Amino acid sequence: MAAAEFDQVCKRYGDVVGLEGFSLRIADGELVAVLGPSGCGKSTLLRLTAGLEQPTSGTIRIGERRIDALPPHQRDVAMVFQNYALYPHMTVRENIAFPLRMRGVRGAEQQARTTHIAEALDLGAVLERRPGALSGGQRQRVALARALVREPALFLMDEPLSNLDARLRLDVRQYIRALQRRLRVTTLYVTHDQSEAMTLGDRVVVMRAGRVQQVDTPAAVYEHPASAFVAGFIGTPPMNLLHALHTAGTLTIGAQRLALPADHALRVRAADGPLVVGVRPEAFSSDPAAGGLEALIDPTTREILGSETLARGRVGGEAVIVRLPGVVRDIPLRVAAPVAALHCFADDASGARLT
Amino acid sequence: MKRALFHVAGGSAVAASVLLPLALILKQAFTPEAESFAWPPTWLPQQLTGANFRVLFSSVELPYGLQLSLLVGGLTVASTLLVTLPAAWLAARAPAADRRLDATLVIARVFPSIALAVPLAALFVRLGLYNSPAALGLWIAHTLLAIPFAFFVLRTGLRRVPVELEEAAQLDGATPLGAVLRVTLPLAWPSIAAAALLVFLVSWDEFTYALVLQVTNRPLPPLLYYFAAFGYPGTASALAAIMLLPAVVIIALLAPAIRSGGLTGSGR
Repeated sequence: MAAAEFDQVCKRYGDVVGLEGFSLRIADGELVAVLGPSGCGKSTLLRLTAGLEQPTSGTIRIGERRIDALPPHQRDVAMVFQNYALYPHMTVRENIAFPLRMRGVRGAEQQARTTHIAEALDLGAVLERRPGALSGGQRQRVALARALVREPALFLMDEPLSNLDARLRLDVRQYIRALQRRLRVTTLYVTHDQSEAMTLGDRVVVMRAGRVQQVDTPAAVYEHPASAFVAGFIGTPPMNLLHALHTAGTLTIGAQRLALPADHALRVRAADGPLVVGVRPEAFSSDPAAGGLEALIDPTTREILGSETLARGRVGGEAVIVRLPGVVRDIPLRVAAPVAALHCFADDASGARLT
Repeated sequence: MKRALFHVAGGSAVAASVLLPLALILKQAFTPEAESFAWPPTWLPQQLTGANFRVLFSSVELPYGLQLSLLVGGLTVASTLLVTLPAAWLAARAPAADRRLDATLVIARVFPSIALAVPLAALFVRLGLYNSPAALGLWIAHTLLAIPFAFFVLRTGLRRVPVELEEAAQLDGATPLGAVLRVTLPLAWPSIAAAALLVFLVSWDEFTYALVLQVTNRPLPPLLYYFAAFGYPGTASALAAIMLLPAVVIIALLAPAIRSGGLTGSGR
């Protein structure tokens, strides 16, 4: 086990940016989840770390050792592939023992370590089978066992749950979390599924178009998104983004004019001009006394999901989604979100947080 | 109903195209020369005889020709796979290299072999490989001839092995070569076996180079021609029947090897 450090890692494919200026320190035993839509550079990051591709510039270290120029087999990095990549011509035992065999661990020790990790992952009964005879969940655990058996310095996971059905996915998610905590193995976990990233990650890295948007704890990514992109990506449904204008302490959204408190960051910085205001669907309440940003609900769009009720509405000319707790049969026609719940972002390509 | 009829008709046509030449060869081999060349022809053999085979087996040329054909076939399989496996692997993994190799090999196939045989013969005379008793010149010629066949079969087989398996093996501690040897090749064995058998057949059947390059030290195809051209059509027919054997065996071996999967279970 060791800490891992990325310093200004770049990868370009001709003119196309795969990864740009990626810097991150993963503490020993930490699980960092990398989250983003397809093409955001998260798979490139994983392949660069594994040594399956070479960075254009920048350095990657594990502990004190610089690894970015080493071939994969010298890096002491293990990876669980999206499709598991089990060796179909070998039994489960041979699959799990393969990394040990490649490192010259033989005989009784190989046997003992293989059996130990197989028992830990509940694979003891299928050791002599081939991968073709296993269920999806079992294959997934064989892939985990093969990656963990040699106690790598760094553990990479490439969307390991995406091939499992929804029920199994929740179980395996818990399982991976518990296992990672128990073994204290430094882990980089790549996913496009925010619920995986939020539940598994000690920290979450949100990426877009090869660049890091935010590195923070799951709670902070939700509560203080660093950009309009993060705000619009995290949450189910994600944050509503509305065009607004700030003039001397007054926020104009559609026809509504909201006075900002005297200590509000926009007011303090006297940043007049257009901006993007974000408001979470769950920030709205039907309390008639609540002030702030008002939305008009279209009652025909009500969706009762049981634990929550969703509805679509409008703020001025812009659409919003509103989320109220529990079963709401008589959806209110007017809901409001307090000014304190509004997030402010720059109205430009960066979409950077202003408050 | 109509469809079933098409299937029967189509199947019969394919079967006939395979079985008729086979029947003709066997009939010629097991009937006396007089009957083989009778007019009008007898469709069913009137008289069966082993005389053609007795003459063939008593000839001094047969054992040597058989040895030579087996030797050249075996050597050609070894050398062709040795050269083609790395190329086919590269083509399966690197599409850019693949396009260049593809075009080159297609061009290589359009040269008529008789046109190449003569300059090759001239070259081999200088190198001392012409009419070599161990058919070394012919071995080189057959290797050149067989490479495109082997390449296309091997590339198809190697492409079916997911690249992730090699990557996984490298992360598990194997060198790039080790990953190919321990993971890719065992999984691609059906196509490697198919390529080996195909290459052997190419060499076993090859006539043009064998005729030009081995004027007196003859492997089986020019030997057959020699028997036929110098007045022993019955002996030639018996040799033709013997030459069929490996082809039939190999095709019987090839069919299941080509069909078998072998890759289930690597992924989801």
